[in-house]
Amino acid sequence: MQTTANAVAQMADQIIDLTPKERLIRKAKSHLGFQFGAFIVVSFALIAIFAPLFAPHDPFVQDLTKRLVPPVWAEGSNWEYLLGTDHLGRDYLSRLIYGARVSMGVGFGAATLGCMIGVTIGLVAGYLGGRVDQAASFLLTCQLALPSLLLAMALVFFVGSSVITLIVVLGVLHWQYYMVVTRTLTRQIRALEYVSAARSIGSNDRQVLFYEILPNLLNQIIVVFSLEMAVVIIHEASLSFLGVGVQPPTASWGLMIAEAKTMMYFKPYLVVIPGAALFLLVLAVNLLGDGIRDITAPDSRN
Amino acid sequence: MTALLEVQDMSVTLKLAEGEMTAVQDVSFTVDRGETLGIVGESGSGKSVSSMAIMGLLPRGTRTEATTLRLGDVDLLSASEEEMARLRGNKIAMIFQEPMTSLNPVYTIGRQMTELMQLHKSVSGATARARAVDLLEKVGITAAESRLSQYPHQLSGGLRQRVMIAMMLMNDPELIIADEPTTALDVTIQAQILNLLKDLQKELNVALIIISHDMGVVARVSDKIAVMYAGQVVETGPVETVLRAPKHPYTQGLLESIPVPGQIEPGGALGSIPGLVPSLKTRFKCCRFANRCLRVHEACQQGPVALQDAGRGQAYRCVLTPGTLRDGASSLAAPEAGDGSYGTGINMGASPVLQAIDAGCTFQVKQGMFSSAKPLRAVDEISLDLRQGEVVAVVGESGCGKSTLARMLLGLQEPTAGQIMLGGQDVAELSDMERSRKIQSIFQDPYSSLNPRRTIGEIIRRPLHLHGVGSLAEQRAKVDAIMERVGLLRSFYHNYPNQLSGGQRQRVAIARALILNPEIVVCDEPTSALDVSVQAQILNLLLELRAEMGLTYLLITHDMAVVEHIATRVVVMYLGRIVEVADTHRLFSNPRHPYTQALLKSVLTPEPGAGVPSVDLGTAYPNPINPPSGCAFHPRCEFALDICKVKAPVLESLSPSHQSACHMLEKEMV
Repeated sequence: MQTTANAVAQMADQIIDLTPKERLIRKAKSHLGFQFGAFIVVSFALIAIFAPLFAPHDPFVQDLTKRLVPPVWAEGSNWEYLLGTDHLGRDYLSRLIYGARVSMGVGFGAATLGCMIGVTIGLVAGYLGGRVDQAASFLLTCQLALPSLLLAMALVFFVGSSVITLIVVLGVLHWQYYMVVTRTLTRQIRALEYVSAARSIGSNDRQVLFYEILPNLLNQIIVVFSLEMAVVIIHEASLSFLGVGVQPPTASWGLMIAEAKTMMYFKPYLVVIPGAALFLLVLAVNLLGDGIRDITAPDSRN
Repeated sequence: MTALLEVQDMSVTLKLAEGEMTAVQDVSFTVDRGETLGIVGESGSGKSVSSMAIMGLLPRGTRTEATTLRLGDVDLLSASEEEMARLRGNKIAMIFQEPMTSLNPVYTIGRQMTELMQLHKSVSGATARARAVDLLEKVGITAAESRLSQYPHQLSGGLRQRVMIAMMLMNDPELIIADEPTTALDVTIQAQILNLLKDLQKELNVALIIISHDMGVVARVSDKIAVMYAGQVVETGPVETVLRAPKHPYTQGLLESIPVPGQIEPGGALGSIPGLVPSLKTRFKCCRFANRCLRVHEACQQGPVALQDAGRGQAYRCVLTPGTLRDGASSLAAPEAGDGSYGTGINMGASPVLQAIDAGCTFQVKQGMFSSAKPLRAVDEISLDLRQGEVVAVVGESGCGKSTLARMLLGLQEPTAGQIMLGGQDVAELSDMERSRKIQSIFQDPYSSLNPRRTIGEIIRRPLHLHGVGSLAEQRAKVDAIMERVGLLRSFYHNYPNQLSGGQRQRVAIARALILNPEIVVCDEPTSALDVSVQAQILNLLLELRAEMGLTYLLITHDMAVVEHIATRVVVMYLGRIVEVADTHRLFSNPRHPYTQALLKSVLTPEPGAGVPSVDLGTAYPNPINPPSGCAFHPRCEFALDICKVKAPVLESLSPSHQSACHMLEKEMV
């Protein structure tokens, strides 16, 4: 026994002893995609939260004498309006900054709501199996058969449009992928020995679900969350573009594209700027999700 | 005349993300027609990589270097990919471990066999089919003609491995490489397959390389043996010499790690090799075994060690000279004058701590989407008593219901019939908390029994937290104490399971099971996923803990050597029923049930040249959904009587500590 302990001691010298936190930081530092994604998402979030501090102008004040001022890099620009003005003479940069509030708020809120619904159904269906699982799968099939954008339009139109309505409607319509992923993984993990071990040390179902199974799903849930958040942001933009989302004069990137569509060929920057912001945010959210998955995956903790 | 396969100074370097890794270094061996080379080693010793290098099957970017690598008159080193493809399946045949994955599930056996032949030879379909039927008959498959149109999933594991062997013989290979050919099979089937391989090899005069982690398998079938460790051959020579007079400390340690009846007192400490098999990513500067060697001295640290000739074809890689080496023949310390006390001192009259009363478990199995569910009796009316201090082993082949029984005893599976009593109370009436204080378990696979998201400290502390034992500081102190007891470093507290080796993880599982001071521990194949040298460490630990804490073990296993070493009583199960129960000593010296006899006969101890015992048990283990009528064992039993087909025998007492269920015994007693 003594020799065994010594030998174990010998081997341990080779293992670099980092606390879990140190290890995470070390990995985050070497992951470019994560850094880029996190930087963009955090900056956008800060800008959205502190919009009044960042916005150079009131986004709602119209000044028809200064309609369609081009952005600073174009001819006839004005340094007062860095990104120019729209067809009502409102500062485009300020509208973009305030628009981030809607895009990020709806994206984050709806993805969170969908996550809570989908993960709950998936966990319960995967863990209990049997009839509960069949019922959940039937619900999923029904949901997948519905045209979600059309349904969202109908619902928003029916209930009346507001940011809260948008979050609820989009959230309720975007739980399928969370559920599919959670259910499959739960079924796999349920059969593993550490679940049996947890039950044999006296854990009840709730403790097994939340202490043993859920933490092992986090990676995949975060990835789905990032994908779904991107989808929801685009759906919000689509709804606003189609006129059933956020109502004017509230600024939203989708609405900005919609308002500029008639002038797309003459003043392309009106479409390109909110479009580029949308693209950048969705890309960053995806990169962030992939990064978090890579960094926290225990398989690569070696 | 030169040997058929000649490998001289072969090194294999793999490219990994982290850099290059030399998986095999300076490996040399030769195999001639009609000769069998056994390569034995623990996981990560490079034995499989060596065989893949010969086959040319290593991934791109791998560098294979050798002074000679030759099969017949073909230089395998300079052969192009096309030439290698012509050799594979033609002159060299390979038999893999898992017959389920090495046969393609979507093609019939006939198609796979004939295709292989037509790929290499221009023969007609009819000729190929005729040869396939011939070979299937040769490997002992009945109704060979009709098997050609079957798919792999329609055959049992043993049959699939036979098909695989027949398939490999289609093109008259000169060399067969069998990589762990029987590891996935039950012991009784293992003996059959090894016998088959041996017979075919003699008959067809081919060269055979058998790769295995199991010393018993290699010892019984090989003429020559190569012991590999960390990518090098550490000892090689005729099997007789190497196993009877091992020179290298690793070979000696490995042989001592295996419980062999007659060489070690049951319950005594096994010789074990301390520490772990090193990772191949380590850059070795000196003897690779030095950090685990009990006879290490300065010379070991001074650069790589070359193979030394020990005469009679034996060579070993150690700095010690034959004179200073321990003599291998008596390498095992003769059993210390055992007082034979192991297993005594158990009060069989005491009330049982754990009791199964006519317990049964029936699953409803649906075979198709629309067929109605059929009952599968995993465990059928089993009665079993465990008394304080006993180590009861439940043995049987896969599918006999031993794991279901363990789950029932643990309270994880509700019995569909009968009762499980824990300390006089029905388990079904106990709460999770009450139950888990009394009975705990250690699982088979240390890679899946620990939650990968929790640190070692959290995993071991979890039971204390759930049961609300003491304050956080007290819990931590307890965790520290138990970690030290099971041989885990304190610094592992913040590590994740994947940073630990299999043996260390199993120590974590043991610590978690013992931290609540249970009375009974159910060990479900606690060492079958571990390397031999680590298995000995864990068995020793389990025995020490039992003595210290007065534990009662229920051991589920298929390894009879382990059973004989640590069990005090053995329960033999077949198709959900107990066929024999006896004290370990009595069971091993005087098995009465034909199935027990066959099981014991199939055990391969590392005895060189003893050959593989022939076990005639028919081929297949019956499907538990359609169990045979009467005695479930009768289709495989060589003594089956008429009555066996209609009436199931009941357990009869042959002596107070020995019961067996067989009609023959009933007759004897009348």
